[in-house]
Amino acid sequence: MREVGIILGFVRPERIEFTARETVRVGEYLVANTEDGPVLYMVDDFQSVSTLLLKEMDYVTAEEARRASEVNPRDRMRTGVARAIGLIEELKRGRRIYPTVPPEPGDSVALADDGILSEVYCQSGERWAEVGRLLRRRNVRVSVDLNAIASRHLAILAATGKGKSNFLALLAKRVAERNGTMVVIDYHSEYRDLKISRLKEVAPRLNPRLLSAEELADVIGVRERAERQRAMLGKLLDERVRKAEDFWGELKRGLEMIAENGENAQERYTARRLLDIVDRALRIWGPIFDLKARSLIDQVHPNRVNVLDVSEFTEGQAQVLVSRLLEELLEDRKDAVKGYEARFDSPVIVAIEEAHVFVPSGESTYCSEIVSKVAREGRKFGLSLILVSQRPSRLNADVVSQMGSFTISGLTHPADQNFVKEVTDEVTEELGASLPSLNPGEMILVGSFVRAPALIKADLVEGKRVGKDIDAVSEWKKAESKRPPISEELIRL
Amino acid sequence: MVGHISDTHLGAFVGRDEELREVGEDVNEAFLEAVELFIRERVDIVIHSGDILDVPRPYGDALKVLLSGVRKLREKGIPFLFTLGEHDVSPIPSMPYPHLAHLLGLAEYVGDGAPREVKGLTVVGLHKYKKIDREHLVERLESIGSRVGSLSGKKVLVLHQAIKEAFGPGSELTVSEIPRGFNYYAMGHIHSHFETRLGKALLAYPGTSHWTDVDDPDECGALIVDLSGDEPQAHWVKLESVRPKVRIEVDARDLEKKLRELVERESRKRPVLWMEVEGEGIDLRAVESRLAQKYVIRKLVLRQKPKGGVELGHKEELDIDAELRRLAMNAIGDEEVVEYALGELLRLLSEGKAEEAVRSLWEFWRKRYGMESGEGA
Repeated sequence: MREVGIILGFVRPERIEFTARETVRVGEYLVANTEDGPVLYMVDDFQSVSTLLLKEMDYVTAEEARRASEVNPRDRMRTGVARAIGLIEELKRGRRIYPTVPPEPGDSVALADDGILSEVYCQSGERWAEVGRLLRRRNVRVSVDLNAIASRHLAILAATGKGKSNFLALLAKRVAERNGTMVVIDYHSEYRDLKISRLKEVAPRLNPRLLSAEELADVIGVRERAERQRAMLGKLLDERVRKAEDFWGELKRGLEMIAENGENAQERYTARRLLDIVDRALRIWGPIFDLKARSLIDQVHPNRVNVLDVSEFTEGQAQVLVSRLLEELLEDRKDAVKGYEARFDSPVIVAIEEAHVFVPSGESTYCSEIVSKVAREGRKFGLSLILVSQRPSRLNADVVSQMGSFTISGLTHPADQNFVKEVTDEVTEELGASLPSLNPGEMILVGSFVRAPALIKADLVEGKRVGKDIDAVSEWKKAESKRPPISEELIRL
Repeated sequence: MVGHISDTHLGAFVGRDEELREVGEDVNEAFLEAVELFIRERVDIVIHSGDILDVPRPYGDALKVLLSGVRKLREKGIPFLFTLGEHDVSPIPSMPYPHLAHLLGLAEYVGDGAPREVKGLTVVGLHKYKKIDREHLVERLESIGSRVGSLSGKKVLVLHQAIKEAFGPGSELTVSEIPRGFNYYAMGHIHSHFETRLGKALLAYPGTSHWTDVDDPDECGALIVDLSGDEPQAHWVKLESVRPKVRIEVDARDLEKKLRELVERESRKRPVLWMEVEGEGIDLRAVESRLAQKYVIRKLVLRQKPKGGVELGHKEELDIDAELRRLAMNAIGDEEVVEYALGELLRLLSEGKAEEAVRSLWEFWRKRYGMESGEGA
């Protein structure tokens, strides 16, 4: 192993500072010996300082200082901070044990061999899925533990364009290869065209008969404060209406009755408003309702990657959908675990895109409660979550803190960076500082699904149209050369 | 003056709704009546805004009526300008039948977007564009709009489309997509009479000249449009050949009164009747026989009255066991046997204990018929 630096200053078991002959990149892996054995470190921060060039100065002085600095190697101070990942021997066995004693100041630090790193980062076996390679070591493949995702949840937090959905697609593909069950709540119709063999494209439908009055009010777009309208809807939605063949017709007839014969003007007005709302909802969102739709879990398939296209849903409707789906899944998985008949007799992973819409911080939505519940209890029943968001600070912190693993990239907003540091103790101040400078596909993996924190370059998934921006110019061009009008072709004079 | 007619649906009902065949004759007659009206009113030209025929492959009568109508106009020196509606155009690319009139020199097709000067008027039209071709339609209209300034005289645009502002979401066009600069917009497709001003210009649908559906208006007609002034004036004339139609929903309790009223009503022609009686215990055949002479009965049904709080579903839970017992009773007819078969025997068999079942069956047989085991075998 080649020495790259000498350990300096205050040395602690979990954190060392060193000075180096040449620049060492952040994310690089180092090895130093302690009494407990060799320890793997990751470079969190590195700086290069010239005392001659440190102060503010005029151009001519700077010129001279530069020349002086060039011929005087002592003027260049290259120092770095590295954090212990763990004892190498233990890491190889899959345990993270920190050294109890620090290396000695003056000890040398060396670059870790690819071989050692591979033993730590690339496990073989069915439960491990390769997702990319170490950013600083392109020869070292990195695998993640799907079992950890399926029991301890995962959060993918990254800015737009940094490869969140690529990473999710990658996981979906790996899950599919293992006959696993996954449900992806696809908010932007991004996952339909994935080249995954076991992909099921689902256009979820809500059956209004099965919704509670409040849920129905939300999905048809009754305003939240419109209490009279909500109360009236609740009163009308009795068994008779729910079971009526023509559900909407029956509901509307009830409303018309009140609109015409209501006791007071207020009531008649409320009924008329509701009629408008129902008509509008059917006009705009007609296709998402299906009076014959079965429960949501019957619409998704076990041992498939189910992509639920909710792009035509409003936020409120998607929330109702997600909360219903999770409730049904949790019940079903509980049955499965108890040995009763269940639709899903093996664990299910539910991935939620734009998670901040469903579990926002500081307010409660339809899903907040059930998502929290799944986050807390899901592992017992083999129901886990993958939350995907580009604005982690807008996510409910309690839910995020239940996530066992994190994939993080390119967060520029300070609030988001701080949030990440708060909820995961493994993203240090220094590593956090490099978050904004990560390029697309470069991600930090921390938590129980990796043996040790890793800075990786994720593999690219085929057939993924996300990550790519829309090529507007060529699409406009395409629209120009559109098909000839049918109406004209039919007339031959 | 312009005679404006639309949605004549010549040949309607024939071969499609034979019960109303005689109404089909009224449909044709209404068109000829409009022709007479136009001649009487001395219009300069006649514009037909499409849906001339009811189906793209009509029976010969429809064409005979069309050609005789336009010939009459021709003899009086009144040009007949037309466009095509979706009912005129077959799904197989081919020449639409109404174009025969053009080929015979009896009429002029204006649905191709090219302006034509006729008697000092400039007429431009487009044939029907389906909604799927909306973009093309809008493009064609933009192109027409860009040329309208160079046209002379009073200008008329002929279209067979619905307008969203007036007829809702199914429409192909919004008012803003209709090019300005014309004096009169001769519209077709919508079966009700409708007029609106676009600035000084007038946009009008004469509506169908004869209804073809129960939801169409009862009264149908054509427009006489005076383009001589600054603002066009339209005068809608009701056509008398139109068959009266009656749609009634009546409570069974008021039926007798209604029937008497219907029977006493006098009409030029036997009206077509759609009737729904709400209630129970009505002999529809008797009702029919009382009305048949005076009405062409298209629909006569009895509808259950929704009670206050309709009870849907079963009053009692469906009991599968009881049902099974009933069926078994029907088949076997012996309570003891049924009891045994559905009880012990069924239990053993469904648990897959075949041998035990056979033993039990012998035992049952032996007890019942007093046979010793093996004796009767």
